[in-house]
Amino acid sequence: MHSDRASLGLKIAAVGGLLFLHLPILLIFLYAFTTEDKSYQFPPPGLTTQWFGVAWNREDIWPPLYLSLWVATIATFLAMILGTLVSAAMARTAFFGREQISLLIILPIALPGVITGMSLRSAFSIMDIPFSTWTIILGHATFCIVIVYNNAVARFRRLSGGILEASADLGANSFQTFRYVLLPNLGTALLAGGMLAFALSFDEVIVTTFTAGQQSTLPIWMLQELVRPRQRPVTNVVAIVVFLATFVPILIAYYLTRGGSETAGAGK
Amino acid sequence: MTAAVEFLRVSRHFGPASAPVKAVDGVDLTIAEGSFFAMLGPSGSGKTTCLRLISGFEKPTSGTIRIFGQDVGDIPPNRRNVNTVFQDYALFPHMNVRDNVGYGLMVKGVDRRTRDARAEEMLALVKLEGYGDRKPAQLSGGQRQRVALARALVNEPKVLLLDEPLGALDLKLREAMQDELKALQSRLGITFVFVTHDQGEALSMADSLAVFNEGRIAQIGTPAEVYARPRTRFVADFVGSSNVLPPEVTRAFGGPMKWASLRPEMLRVTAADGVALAGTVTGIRYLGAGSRLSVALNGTEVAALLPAGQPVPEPGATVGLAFDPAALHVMEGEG
Repeated sequence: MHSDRASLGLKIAAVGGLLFLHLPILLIFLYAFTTEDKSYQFPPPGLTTQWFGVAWNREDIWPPLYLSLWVATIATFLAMILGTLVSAAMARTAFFGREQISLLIILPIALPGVITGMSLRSAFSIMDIPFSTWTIILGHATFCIVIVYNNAVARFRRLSGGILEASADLGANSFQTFRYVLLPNLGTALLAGGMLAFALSFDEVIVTTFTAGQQSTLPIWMLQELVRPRQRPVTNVVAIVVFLATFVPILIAYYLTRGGSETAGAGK
Repeated sequence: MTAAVEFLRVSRHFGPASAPVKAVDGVDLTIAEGSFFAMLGPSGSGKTTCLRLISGFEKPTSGTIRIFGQDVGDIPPNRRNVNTVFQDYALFPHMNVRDNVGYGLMVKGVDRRTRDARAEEMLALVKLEGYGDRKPAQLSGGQRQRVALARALVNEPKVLLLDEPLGALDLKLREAMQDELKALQSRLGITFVFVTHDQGEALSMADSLAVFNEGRIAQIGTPAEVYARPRTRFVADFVGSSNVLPPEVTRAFGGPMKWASLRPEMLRVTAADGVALAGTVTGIRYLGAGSRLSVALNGTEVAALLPAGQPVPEPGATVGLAFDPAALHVMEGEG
């Protein structure tokens, strides 16, 4: 007889899998409080909150943090404009080569970051564009667009096309239709897409490595910091900050788009 | 009488010019002001495209459309004094019923108090007082239909377009709405253009109707004309499923060598002996108010409506058929 309840073995396997995925994250948090600052020994010899203060006073943390926030904000902003426009075009009109273009838009997220990074790097050097904050932003925008696009296009599909026509039929011009009908219905999808894009950009390492010049974003700063044997728990404190900066938006995005399978592309 | 809507040789073709899909092909049409006009036809016959040509969501490939004498070729949907009740209602899901109904006034810049009052009036008109605060998702199909109607009427359109508005309702509700729509139309005096594939609906509601087939108008006239004197085989069959008789059968039935239509209810089933027309009963369908007999006769199948209370013959029995010669309608058109 078929049973709706999972067998004990399956439950254990599921719990085991989840623990395997998430326990290491808890250890990251734990080591932010350890008193031992040269190596990660388990169990920690003692617990302290001093590293939060140390991290706050370390001047080399702030520029990467600001850079990461700036890059994520601008990349998300660009992605929201371009992603919305392209999803509107894709959802509302049929034209020759539409499927192919749709694939091309999604490609940056399907491609390994190294490929995107390498191609952008060589493109920038061919065009003699010096590496700067803007090259990082461009790199991030390539995959941020995909996130916004995926969210918006799913919402467009779910919207009954009739309501845009109904609005025009009742006398609204295109701006009024956008303002009173399209935006309220698209809003949460865009916000969710924007938050996911922000989170992805904030902790991106691979593409950033290829497109950054001398600057470091926060994740790259962390990578460099880990190989140095001093004040290791500071890195963990920063990790908690990164975790919050990325996890909270993703959580909000999840709640905003609940009830539809439209947070597509959430896991790059 | 003024013409509310006029089509002059209007065509709407889709796809490449070399092999176009002729959704609407050379349609001439005049809809009188204040009339209830039905566009009847099977799906894909061009009736909905015609409606969208009036509302402005489609542009004619060729030909001219006039609304109250004005050529609307360059007028976008939002500037036509025409409103639509959409097939799926297309209510705005994020607005409550009052804001849905008041939308047309809002985009014109009417202040909130006036438009709320007007919305309440319109809701009263469609018997939905007190529903203003609900969201469309909290309404039944019939209620949504009424909201869509109220929303379309709030702008006081000169022509109201209805795209299969009753299609999604169950039979009982549908009949009630048919009566209501009809009453509303005669009260408001607005021209209603009603698209449907249901010939019963078109016959019972319309002042005049156009039967569409493959992008063209097969016949246009009052319901009584179209029913009694179908111009083509298609109309005879589509409107009221008449017996469509090929020329040689018409001849055998005492008519000329031409295609003819003979309504099943015009045939009387009699005893087999001593009549000119006799055939074998091949099928019986019980309809409640009577039975529909299929009779094989001269190599064609003919349907006859047998009123309730009369003895129903067994399948395989031989029966006679009689009819008033005036009921045999000879068709002029082909196809």
